[in-house]
Amino acid sequence: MASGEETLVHEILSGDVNSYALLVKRYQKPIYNLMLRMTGSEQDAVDLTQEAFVKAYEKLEKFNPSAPFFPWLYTMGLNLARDFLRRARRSPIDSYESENSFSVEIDQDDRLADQIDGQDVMEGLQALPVEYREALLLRFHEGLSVSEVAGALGLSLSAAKMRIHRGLLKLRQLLEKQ
Amino acid sequence: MKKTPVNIERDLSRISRLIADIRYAEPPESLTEKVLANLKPKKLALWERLWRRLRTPVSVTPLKLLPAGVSVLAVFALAVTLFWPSPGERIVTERINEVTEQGLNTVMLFLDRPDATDVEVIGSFNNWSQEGVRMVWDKDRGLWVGVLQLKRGSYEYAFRVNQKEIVADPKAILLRDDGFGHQNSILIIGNGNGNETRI
Repeated sequence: MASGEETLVHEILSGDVNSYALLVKRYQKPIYNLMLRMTGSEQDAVDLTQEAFVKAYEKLEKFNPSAPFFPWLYTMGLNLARDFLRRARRSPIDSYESENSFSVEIDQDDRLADQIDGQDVMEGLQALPVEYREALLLRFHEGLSVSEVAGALGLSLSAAKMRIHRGLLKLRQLLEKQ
Repeated sequence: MKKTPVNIERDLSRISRLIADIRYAEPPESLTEKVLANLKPKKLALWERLWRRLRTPVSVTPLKLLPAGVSVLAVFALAVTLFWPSPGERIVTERINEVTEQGLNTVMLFLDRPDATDVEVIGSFNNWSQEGVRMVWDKDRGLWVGVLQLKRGSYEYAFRVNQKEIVADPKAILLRDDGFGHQNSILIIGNGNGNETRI
């Protein structure tokens, strides 16, 4: 768990609402960006980010303070974004692709261009199914352990490992086409 | 060029590094403030509150509601008497469990500037009037202490030291640029429920 978070959670539960500001400041950026990826709208992203933090605060009594806060918050944020898209009858940015239907054909002749940069990778991620995209970002951008990724996405440890590896292969395939 | 499994793994490793370096968009600056404005302090059970107060001498003991109209100085004097911090620990800002009949919350601000000869609080609570709220030097605490009575809401404030130097509250969690090269501290007064609030 990030430094001091357990103490912070205890202080918040003891009535110190302003200690929550530290958690909001620490995690508002990844949650806001999650909402941006899900909705593509800055205003919806702001509203959903606020909603996620307020909901997490209201449910804080149910949170295990010895566990990391971010994966728990992230799960709540992802569910909120999905509910929002469902209510708005908007399709997610992409459709779910099950583990079984997933296949990656590795073209032995394709070469990943040397000039591929972060922007290309972001565009490639945006073209991936949500489950792969978020697994990759949690693992490599947020630096979560595989077991924390599994917790955040409701997967078993082995399923999380597979999701991350297949996500990388799929992303590589997309980048090769660029 | 043929891709061998080794080269593929190298690509995946490179992609994972690129993911780590992606630059995220910045959320609006006001986001934290807006979130906090929607929150009510958690209410502890009575035994938890008593236990907490027994264990933490710095916490604010509930004040009996003083009759409406009691002066700010009277509240301050009582608060200073009751809420002495333990050695080595300093209260920064508190909202006391004190709501007047007019719905005003009593807030105490503290500044650690023993070198100053005069300190005032200025802020949005009185439209940044030149007439600030004068702070009092508490020689035992070694701190300047000021008392405000404010309605629910969000306020910006700063300390004016020796009539000229404008300084933000160094312990405030939330700060905002004033557009003139200084930073203002943010004070949020939500729904009081009997628990002290540090800001």
